[in-house]
Amino acid sequence: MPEDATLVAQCLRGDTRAFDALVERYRDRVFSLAFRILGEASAAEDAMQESFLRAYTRLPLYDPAQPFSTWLLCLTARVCLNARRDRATELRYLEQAAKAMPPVATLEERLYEREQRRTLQRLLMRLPAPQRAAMLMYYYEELPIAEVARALEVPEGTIKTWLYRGRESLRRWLEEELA
Amino acid sequence: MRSECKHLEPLVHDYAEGWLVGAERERLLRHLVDCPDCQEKLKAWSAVGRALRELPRLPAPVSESFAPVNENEPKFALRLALAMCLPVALMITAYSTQWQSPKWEQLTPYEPLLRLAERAQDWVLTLWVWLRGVL
Repeated sequence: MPEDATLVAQCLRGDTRAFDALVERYRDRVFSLAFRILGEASAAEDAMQESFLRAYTRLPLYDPAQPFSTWLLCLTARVCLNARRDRATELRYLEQAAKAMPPVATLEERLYEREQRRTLQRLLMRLPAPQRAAMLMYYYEELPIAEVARALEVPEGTIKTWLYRGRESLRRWLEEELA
Repeated sequence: MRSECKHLEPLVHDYAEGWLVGAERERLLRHLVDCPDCQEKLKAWSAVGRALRELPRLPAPVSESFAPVNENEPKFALRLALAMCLPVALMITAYSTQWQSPKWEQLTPYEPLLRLAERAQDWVLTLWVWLRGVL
């Protein structure tokens, strides 16, 4: 299986099949991160599409010194935070979710619904969005602090504080839930 | 919880992450030895970190290809022009003997083929006459 760097180089030469291969490799990771930040499957799907589209158009700006996965996931986190800021989009998602409940949910939909109900995902949604994004980028995706800070455009010290406060909030809420 | 604990709490977090080094690390370790509250907090934070790391990966819904249209592929107009080359070439061949714009009523789909057949008939006749002359 070709390395990410090889596929990126092929893609920059105009081979769109190479980009399809990158999408296939990272779609679950990108979708999962988006779902964990946004807490809703259709919003996460939109964010995933937006992330891959941006990745494709900005590929010439990608620095090969950095792992492609880090670059893509940081970009995804920014897309998700922008999507959350867009209040109109959020309301549209809520409306869609309210009227688009299928009579029989697919296996994937049932999986997403179950995830939404799960304690940790539910409690994560209580955190402020940038803090949640930082927690997920650092713990879930195991990205370096420096990259998380750069992606969220805050100093590294702020990220460390967010992680500390976020983890303490989750600990407290989990104890309350489980008490 | 002792007053020192509140002060050291951020260091417990940094220790859990492996960020704490040097004198601060030594100081915290000395405190942890005889502080069950901070030991408990360290365990709880580690458990939260582990739970976040172990959140399951979710399968992305199946959707169409993300790859935008390949800009190196011929554009639709170019492909259409290439596809039209053969019929246009046939028409030019058919009408090339004495070029005059064909009348609309002559532009039936098989008109160029009839013209080509007529021209082929002329060639065959010419060849036949020449061959008879030679033989």
